[in-house]
Formats: sequence, structure tokens, C-alpha cells
Amino acid sequence: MVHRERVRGYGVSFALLVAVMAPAFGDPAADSFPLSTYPMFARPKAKTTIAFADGIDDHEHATRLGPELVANGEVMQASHTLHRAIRGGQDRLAQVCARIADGVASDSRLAPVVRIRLAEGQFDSVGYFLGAREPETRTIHLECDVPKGSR
Amino acid sequence: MKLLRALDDYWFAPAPPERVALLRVAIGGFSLLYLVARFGNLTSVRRFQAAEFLPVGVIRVLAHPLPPFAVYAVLLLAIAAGGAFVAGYHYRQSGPLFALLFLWTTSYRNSWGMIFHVENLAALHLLLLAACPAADAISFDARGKSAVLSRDGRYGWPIRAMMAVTAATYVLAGIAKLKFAGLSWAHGDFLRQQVAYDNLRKIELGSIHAPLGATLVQYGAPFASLALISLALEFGAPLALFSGRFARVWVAGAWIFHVAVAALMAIIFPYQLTLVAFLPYFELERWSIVRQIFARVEASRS
Repeated sequence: MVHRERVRGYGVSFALLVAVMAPAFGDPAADSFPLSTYPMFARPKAKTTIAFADGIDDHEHATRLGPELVANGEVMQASHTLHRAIRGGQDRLAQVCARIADGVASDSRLAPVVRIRLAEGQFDSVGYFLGAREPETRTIHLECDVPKGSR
Repeated sequence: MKLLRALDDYWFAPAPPERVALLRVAIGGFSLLYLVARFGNLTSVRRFQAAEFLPVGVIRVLAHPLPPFAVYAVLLLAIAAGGAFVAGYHYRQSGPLFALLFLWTTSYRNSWGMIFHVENLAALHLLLLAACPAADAISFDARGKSAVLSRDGRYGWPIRAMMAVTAATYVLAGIAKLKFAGLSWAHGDFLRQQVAYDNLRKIELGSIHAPLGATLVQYGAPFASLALISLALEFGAPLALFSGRFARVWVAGAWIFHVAVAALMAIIFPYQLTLVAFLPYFELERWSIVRQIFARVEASRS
């Protein structure tokens, strides 16, 4: 094997391994891609906070709206989108609410839905499976109307 | 000096060109199929609002999201480059091109507020394959070349590097657990919370959850054992670099670990579950099914 190939082998291997291991020396919460701290199963999660979008009909009955209306079909992506919107303030939340309302307006299966409610609920993670199914706290962040004209 | 020599001998241990070529076909083929199968998901990010854009990794060069046509164009180009990568066609160009486009495409998908961890290892393995002569055999580029290639260290180091990177990712996952929770993570309470947390979110948000996990979290006892096994697998990963026998045991353990993750939390790591991630630990060219394919190809040529 020629010297040049040996230098390349060491150079590429060393550079990538250093880059991959570097996150171990930083903040474990500072995740990235593809260089990650792999924190997904590491954080303590005694409480579970979920952000969700409900469709409300004329009788105040709530229907949980699917992730494809909130984001892109990935349920966790949808929940994160709502979490970030909630943290981003009312304008941001209003934008997301309007987008969901537009999606609902164009879905005939959701015809009874007249407004969208964006909310968060906090649960006891393990307690939920031992019978405590209701959230310990529930916060309604925003409601917006489904546009009528587009139906 | 002896240690450096031993390291050099280990890192550049001669390997046949067919082994790294088979890894190119398997890992490249998996990644190409992944892009095709996830086409809808990978392009669905075009619907997000600019305010939701939170670039990670290489995507940090972008100040704003790409226009929708560019999302499609990059993905289609990645798929075309993936075909050339697998076939070993103009590999000096197609190798790095596919590795970088796969990295770009998956990084872009992870740049919307949620980082998934299922594509990291494939992206890293592709970068290593792109930097080595992985198309000297079993490729379009190698067709018509009469030179007989022998075992060489230049085919060995990328395999060692892929194994080392694989081990590093598991060690990192173990370090993260200890950094967040200390040694108490081994007691199992945190793992139990994790399984509960994940299933609860999926139940409440209307996604597919894992009934086995939802049942098991009602009992605390199993989680201490599961937590200890997880940590042992993660911190034991580097040992698989030095012993073929231990490597087989570790790969079996790591695969069972991912099966358990799927069974308890409905989280699928396709690269690991299909075993493609662990192929660098094996002498693929010696597998009987591979030898049979080689023999058939030779017979068809003659």
C-alpha cells in the first residue's frame, strides 16, 4: 500500500472519529445531525407534556386532529411543531393555527369542526399506565375559527 | 513504538476488495431504497413555515428554507447518484456525491425542530465508503479491467473505521445517559419512564404505540435488568473491534436491543434492524450466499 493511501486512511478515519466523539465533551442536550449526543433515551421523563390540536364542533365536542394537518404525518414532528409554536409566541401560534384551520376546511371528513384549539397537557408518565389517564394540567393556548368560505 | 506498529497493522489489516465493494452495494443499496421509500416524508417538509426552520449540521449554511422545487431536485439527484454509487459507476465522482447528498437530504429533514436518530449511522458509513476505493470490484468501473486485485490495507481501513464509528455512536448513547442521570440510570426507573413517555405520547396523539411496552411499564421489576443490559451493550461496543467472536455476540445483542426498542416503544431503526449497519463486522465475501452469487456471475460471463 502506498504512503499516500495510508495518509488518507488515517486522515479520514481520525477526522470522522474525532467529529463523531466530540459531542461527548459538550452539553448532552445540544443535539445535531449526523453528529449527535444520542440523548433520545437518556433524559429523565417523569412527566410527559404533549402539545396537540383539537377540532371543536358546534356541540363543543373535541376531536384530536391528525399529524398530517399539523405538520407532515410524523406524529412526533407534529407535536414538536406545536411545542415550538407555543414557545414562539402568539403570532407564531396564530400562523400554525391558521394553517391547520385551512387544512381542516378542505377536508370533508372534518366538516363538523368549526374551530381549532391548540393546547398542552401534562401527564404523569408511568401513572398514566397505572390508571391516571387524565392530564395533571391542561393549558389552552389558542383557538381559531375554521374559514367557512372554503367549504 | 510497538503499540503504534500494532495499531497500524490493525487499522490497515489487508482485506479483499470484494468485501468493501459488498459493503458499498449493501449500505448504498439500503440508503438508496431508504430515500425512495421515504420520498413523501423527505419532501413533505416543504409545507412547513419558514419560522419552523431550525437548521442542523450541514444545513446551517442556509439562512432560509429551500424553495419546494429545490427540495425535490436535491432528492431526485441523490437518488440518481445513489444508483451510480451502488453500481460503482464513475465512483470517484458518484461516491462522494451520493454520500454528501444523502447527508444533505437527511440533515434537511432533521432541520424542522425534531432530530430523528435513525439515519445518523448510515450517513456516517456512506461518508467513509465515499472516501475509499469501494468500487475496485463488483462495479461498472471494474468491468473490463484485467488486473487481479489482492488483499490490501486500503480495503481494510474503511471497514475498521465503519466499525469504530458504529461503536462510537453506542458509547455516546451510554455517555448521554450517565450525563443526564448518572449511575442511577442503571436502576431502571429512567428507562421505565422513557417507555411510558414514548407510548403515552403515541396513544394521546393517535399514533401506533407498542402494546408490549404499555403493558410492561405497569411493572417496575424488568426495567433494572433492561437498563443494565442497555448500558453493557453501549459501553461494550468497542470490545467488538478486537475479537471476531465477541463481535458476533455484540452484534446479536445490539440487534436484539433494537428489536426490543421496536417492541417496547414502536421506534424503528431500519438500518440496524435490517442488520445492514452491522455488516462491516463480517467477512461478507465468505458467506455461502455471496459465493453462490459470485459463481453464477462468473458462469454467466464464461
